[in-house]
Amino acid sequence: MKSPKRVLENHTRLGKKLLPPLMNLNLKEISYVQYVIPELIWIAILNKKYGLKKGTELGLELVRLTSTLSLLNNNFSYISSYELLNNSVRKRILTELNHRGVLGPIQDGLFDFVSIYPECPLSFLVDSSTNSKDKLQGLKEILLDLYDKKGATATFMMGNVLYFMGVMGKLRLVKGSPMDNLPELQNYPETLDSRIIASGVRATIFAMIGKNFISASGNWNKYFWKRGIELEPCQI
Amino acid sequence: MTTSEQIERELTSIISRYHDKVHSELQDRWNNWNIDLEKKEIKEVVCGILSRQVSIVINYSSSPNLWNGDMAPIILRCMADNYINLAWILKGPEERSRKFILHGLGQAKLAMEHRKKQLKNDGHDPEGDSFIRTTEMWINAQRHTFLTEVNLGSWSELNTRKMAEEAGCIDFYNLVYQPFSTASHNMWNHISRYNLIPSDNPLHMFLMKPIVVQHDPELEYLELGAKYLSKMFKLFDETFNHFSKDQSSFKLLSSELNRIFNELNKDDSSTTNTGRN
Repeated sequence: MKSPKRVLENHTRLGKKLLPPLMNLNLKEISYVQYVIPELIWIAILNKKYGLKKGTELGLELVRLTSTLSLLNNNFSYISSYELLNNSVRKRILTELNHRGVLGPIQDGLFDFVSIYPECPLSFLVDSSTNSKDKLQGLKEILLDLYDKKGATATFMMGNVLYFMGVMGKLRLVKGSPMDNLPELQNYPETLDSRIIASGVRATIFAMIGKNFISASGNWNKYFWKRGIELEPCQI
Repeated sequence: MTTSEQIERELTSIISRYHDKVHSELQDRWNNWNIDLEKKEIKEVVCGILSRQVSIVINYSSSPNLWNGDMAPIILRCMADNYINLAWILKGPEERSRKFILHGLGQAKLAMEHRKKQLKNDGHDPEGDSFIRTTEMWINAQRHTFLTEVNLGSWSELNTRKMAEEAGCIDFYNLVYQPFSTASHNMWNHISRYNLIPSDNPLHMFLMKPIVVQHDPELEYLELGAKYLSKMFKLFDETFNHFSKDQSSFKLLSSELNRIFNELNKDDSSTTNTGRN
């Protein structure tokens, strides 16, 4: 007769600790809420204001242009990356966006956000001298949506990052793989294919925002969450 | 009289009958266990532990504000600990009862010495302290303090898990003692569920903030206390071949509680079901 299975049999014992199998791969947990949301929330804000198609186009314009002008190899889907831009590049971005006719919509889309977070690295895009708390309700609604990382708002936000990279030739997808059909994501969560792609999108984003990104990123995400508590203290 | 007043009155009466029954169960075991004064320590320790369990359950069952997931585990874990102690002692009653007593005397001596030191530091005379005098008399009545050794480790020289393993109640340890320990030791897996609540403000990144909840009593927790006492009586009966022809206090309590719920379900014209049967 087989001996009964021990609980946590697949764990490795190290002294008094039982280590799960994946610990052997030196994995580090990345908090979606803490890191991913502050980095990508601007994409969700544009999507919400203009709808998925136009929001995506505006986001792509900004990311593609900044990637070209900055000469940096950073991913400009992440807000933190904009901390690294010097003033001259920032001015050229504004000029070029204006020239392409997308500066106004981007400014309109991000105005409230930047008013709430005046130290946001994207604040150079918006001429906002107001330091406003009045627009918090809209932001809170988006944040609530984004907390559900499998929800449509979060999925389109993360999907846009991969789309931007694909368009810029910075992401190569295996031909014939589900991810190769990224535009199908717009049907999320209605179709099976879109749900498969969404799963791939999440996995890819988490792989990209790894521990190296977090240690290299600046103060943005700390500021983002600190500012939230400043604006509305958590009291009991 | 409202339904809830009726239930409260009924419950008070059930618990009072339960207490009477518990007392008589303890008496039955004590009165029908032959006394061999050469082995009086076994009887004192075993029945002391039984009496402790009875005392806990009587006080616990009189305190509905403890019958909830936040408070009940503190009491229930203490009862589980008491059960495992007894189960382990009964595997070698003579030697282990002695060990249990000597460890207790050593602990009392240690506490007394700490107090003496504190009194001296505060400029008082320890000789005049009533706590020290009564403790010393209590220890000396059993063993001279100067012969009482102090064991800084566990009384059994084993951890509770090992004791439970040796006593054949490892499942009780894993399923009761261990999970309830998280409440007794105020561990994160208890505190985060009972004493904190995530902020509902999305700006706060799910920050957990303090909450003090006034829980409603849950009768399942009352029954658990009664169950662990009954488990201890059963252990005693099996070890010492004790036979009781009376219905157990636990069965009495359970059937009475079921009766209340059945009546409630009957009276309730809605489809609400309490889930008990």
